[in-house]
Amino acid sequence: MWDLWLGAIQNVMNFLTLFCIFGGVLLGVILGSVPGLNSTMGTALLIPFTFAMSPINGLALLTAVYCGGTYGGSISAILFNVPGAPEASATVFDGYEMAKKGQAAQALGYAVMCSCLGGLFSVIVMILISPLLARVALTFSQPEYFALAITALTLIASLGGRGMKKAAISGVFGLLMATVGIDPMTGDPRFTFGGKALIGGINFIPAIIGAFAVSEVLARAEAGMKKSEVLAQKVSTILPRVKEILRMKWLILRSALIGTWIGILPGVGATTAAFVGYAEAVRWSKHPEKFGTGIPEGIAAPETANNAATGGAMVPLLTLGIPGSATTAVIIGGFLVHGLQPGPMLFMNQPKLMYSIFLSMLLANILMLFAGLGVAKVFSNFRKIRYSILGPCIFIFAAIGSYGIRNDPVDLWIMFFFGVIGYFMKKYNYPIPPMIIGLVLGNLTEISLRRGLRMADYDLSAFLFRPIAGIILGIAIVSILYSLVKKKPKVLEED
Amino acid sequence: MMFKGEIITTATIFMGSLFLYWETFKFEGHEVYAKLGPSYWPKFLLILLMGLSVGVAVDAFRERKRGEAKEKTLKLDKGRLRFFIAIGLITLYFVLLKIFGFILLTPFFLIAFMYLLEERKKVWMICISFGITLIIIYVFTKVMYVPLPRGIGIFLDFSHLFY
Repeated sequence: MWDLWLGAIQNVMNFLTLFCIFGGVLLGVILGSVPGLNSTMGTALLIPFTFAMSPINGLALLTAVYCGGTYGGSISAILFNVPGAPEASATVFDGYEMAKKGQAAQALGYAVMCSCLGGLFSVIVMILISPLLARVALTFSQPEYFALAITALTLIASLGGRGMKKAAISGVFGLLMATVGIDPMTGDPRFTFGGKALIGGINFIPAIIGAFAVSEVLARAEAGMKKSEVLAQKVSTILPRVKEILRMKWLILRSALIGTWIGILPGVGATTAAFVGYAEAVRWSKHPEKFGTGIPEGIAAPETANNAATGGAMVPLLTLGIPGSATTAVIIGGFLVHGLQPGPMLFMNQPKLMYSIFLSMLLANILMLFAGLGVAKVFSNFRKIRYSILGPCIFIFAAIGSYGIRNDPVDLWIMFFFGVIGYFMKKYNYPIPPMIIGLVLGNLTEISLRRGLRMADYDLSAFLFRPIAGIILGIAIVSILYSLVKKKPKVLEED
Repeated sequence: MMFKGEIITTATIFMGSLFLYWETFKFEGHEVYAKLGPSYWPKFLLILLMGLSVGVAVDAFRERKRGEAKEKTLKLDKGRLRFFIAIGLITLYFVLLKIFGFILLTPFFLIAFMYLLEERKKVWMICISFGITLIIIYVFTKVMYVPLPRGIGIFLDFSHLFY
């Protein structure tokens, strides 16, 4: 074991490999922070370049881009209300609210620090118990996925506050929007109105960009210049103190565990991890009503969880050869160009390489602190620009970010539609986050329910008798009942 | 809360859900999936939406009865006018994007939007609009190979000069 670690240190601790790691992290953070560009795209474009590199340098570069890109999205989410990458969607809820309160520097600090901690945690887990975790993850079936999705959806009850019905409308609307397009089980078009435009469904990225960024631009257009000017201020990242991190130690640990575990599950990536991490933070908080108003916990939870999912997603890739996310699927290409086949045999035949990848991912997560600080500083300068100039520029980046996902003009209209919907939702006090949660988890919820019911011969109670699914569903039911019981006296008091 | 606005919103949600519910009857289910066909989940969600919208409307009526709801007449002030112009401008941009392409249309859209948001420094408006457009074109098409809308006819040829 120690021989392998010494070998890994020898492989990684040289100028070229360290340069690849830092360059990769920096590139990942930049790609992640620009809407429309992401780490999956970055790794795909870099694969041909890694062909000329040694396997260690090439794979260190690709995994570093992956780690950096997962964090990068939070920068634009916090500063401009536009998640740069889907993984940062949940960071918008509290990140931008903190920025509006003049605490953008602190928000950026929490995001980078928690991303680093989440990433480090998952890599350590990956090093210690990869093969065992991969085997357990493969026992997850449709009822377990359904239970996981339902648990995350119960967050809607916690986010509702006094307007529980409005939060539920928002969440159900999101779930409904996720049904648009081809039915994944039967292939029938749903809500496409006979046209081709909506046949591919509603991609949640344009919807999120629209609901948060475009609605904000429209609201500012209505408010006029005077109100818009208030937010322009100087920002530089302020890292949280050790005391502040220790205050949130359980939240960070819980989010890191959730993120790592969800990352391991094939097909459910860092975005779901961020939402479930956020949901659990709300559920366990003594002040759930403060979430969404701009509190550090609302940034720490999703940022820890989404970066923890990066290490988690590498577990099935390295141990079984199954990618845990879109980017790790691309990273497989990085292995293949060097004639390596990820899977159990790689651990036996190339153990030094495996440990070198572990070490380079650890370093990537640490170097992310520096790269994150640098990129956030550059981006934060844009906040000093007047909103009358910044607003239209944000809109164009939002439009290109939406268009760039599928190169489909329909996504521009989806973004616009959700922008207008978001504007009216804000106006009439319908919370936006439940809609996004519904939209993100809609497909997983429906498909796992329908497939699970077919497996169980249409007997829903069978879900409860599967040990893992039963426990998760039990937690969800108890938490809904708890939030209903807890809220009632408050409402009565206020009445 | 505005009582009229609340009622209009909930009525829109209810009617929209009813329309979509009617639409679900057009989904062609396959025999093998008959128990849980493509319309099963959307129907469940739409019934929920209708029920919830009625609930919100009832709450609004109760609040009005208690005298909590604010009555506000809908009038077209300067801010609202700016909002509708922004909606029109964005719609026009997306419609024309297919014809004129990204490079030709975007700087003018940016200038118009900046003017709408009451920016009056002409040099800034022009420099930033053209600068941002060129940066986006360079980063997206040359560095990351993400295609941008090119337009049609002569505008397509023009865009080929740049990307």
